[in-house]
Amino acid sequence: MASRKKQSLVREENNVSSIIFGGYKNTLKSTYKEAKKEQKKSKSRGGDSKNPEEKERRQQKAIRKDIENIRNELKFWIAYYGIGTPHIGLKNQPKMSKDQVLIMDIDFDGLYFTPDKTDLSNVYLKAKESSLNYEQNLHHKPQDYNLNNIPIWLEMKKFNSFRPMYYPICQCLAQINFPPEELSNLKLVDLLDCISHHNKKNPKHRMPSQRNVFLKTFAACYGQEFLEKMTLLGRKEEAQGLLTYIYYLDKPNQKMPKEAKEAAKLFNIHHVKNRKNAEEMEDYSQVNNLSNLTLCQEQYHKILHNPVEIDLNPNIVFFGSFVQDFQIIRNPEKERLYLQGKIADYRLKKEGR
Amino acid sequence: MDSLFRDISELDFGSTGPSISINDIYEANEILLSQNRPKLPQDVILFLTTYNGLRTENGVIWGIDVKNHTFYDIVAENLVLSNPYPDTLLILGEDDTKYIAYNKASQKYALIDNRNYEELFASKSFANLIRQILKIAS
Repeated sequence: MASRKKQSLVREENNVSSIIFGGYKNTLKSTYKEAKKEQKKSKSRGGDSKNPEEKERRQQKAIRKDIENIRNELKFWIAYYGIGTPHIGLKNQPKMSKDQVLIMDIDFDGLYFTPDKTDLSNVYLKAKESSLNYEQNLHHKPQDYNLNNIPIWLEMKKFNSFRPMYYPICQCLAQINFPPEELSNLKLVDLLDCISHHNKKNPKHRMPSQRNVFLKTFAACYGQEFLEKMTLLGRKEEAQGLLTYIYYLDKPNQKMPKEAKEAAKLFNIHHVKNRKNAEEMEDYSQVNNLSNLTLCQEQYHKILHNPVEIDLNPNIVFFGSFVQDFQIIRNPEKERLYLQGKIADYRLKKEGR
Repeated sequence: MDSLFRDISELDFGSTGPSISINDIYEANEILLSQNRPKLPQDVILFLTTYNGLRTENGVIWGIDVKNHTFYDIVAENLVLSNPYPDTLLILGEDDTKYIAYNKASQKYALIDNRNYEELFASKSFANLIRQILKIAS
């Protein structure tokens, strides 16, 4: 009985997939840009040259109609399966600054680049160049620096990944003997330079990224369920590969198996409230919070953005398919307990117990 | 660039496309120039002769497609993208939210917001920004 149910679920999933990925594959593949490209190609092949403008107008109309049909089809499935709603943008939202966008991105991705010397502020560069390779300086201590006097730090500390960097930044400033009275002149790139220096010196304690925190939390709280659902979909190896990938995330010195990296390419993290629309959130710094992140198969991730921008149901933590049986519902209590356990472990380690 | 190559070889990433010759790159440059796009800078040429594109689970650096393989091609992508600054900005790769681009005017590489082509961060070093797109720790 149970196996019959499984079979019918898989059949339903295949049907929906074939409708979405199969029947409309060509048009789905083509966004407006690609459709236009094809149109140009067909134009260059020749054809009716009597009234090219009229022909072009008709073609454009046909493309618009095709895309509209897909949009309607997708909207139908979204409503049918109750997975979310089409995004309706709010107008006249204040635009985020360049620094805010960069902070938001680094909070999610982590920091992997080093700012160029030419971009650093004069006061920071002067201190850095006059210090002797970050050797411990006797003039200042990390406690001498109150980062809350730096306007850009107030923006950075709204994000989870930056908050643990308070002390490493102070330590870096002390090591280069940066004058504490000049703190308010520091720019975002100066602080990123401090974090980059910390990352290089302490590869095991790099600045965290919300992407990795989410993946680790996901594996700990929903790993087993994820494996079961993916097995049902006939994708057990890919699921195992992703879990292996997550296992190796905080082991920079161990070589990650190739299969794990390949499997990770088949999944992506979707922002329920998209990063593009972070301005519309009450507090844009919540955009990378775990409650706003959903793991999904890469093929579905594309559909959640194009041709209709979908606001996914925030309760879904894994989106394996439109069919509900291949989704995992978020359990905030489980996530909270896992994260609390992590924090408790960290405190124990810090206190040397 | 050397340390990046070393990191890449240690991490065992694969190229996205088959290896290409310097002539293929010159041909790509000619097409770009004929379309009023910036030509490929020296660092990128050096990268492409070693890795014809690079893809990780986090991002992709495009390559040069010489045999119509289905992978991201710098030339083709730049010709179809709705880049508002086509004559100064050459897009070289992407992750979910950003492009990596060469800015001919400032002669720097830049991370560009893929929503509005706004420059988020610029650097003289291509290797430096590849790390951010592919998330490779130094």
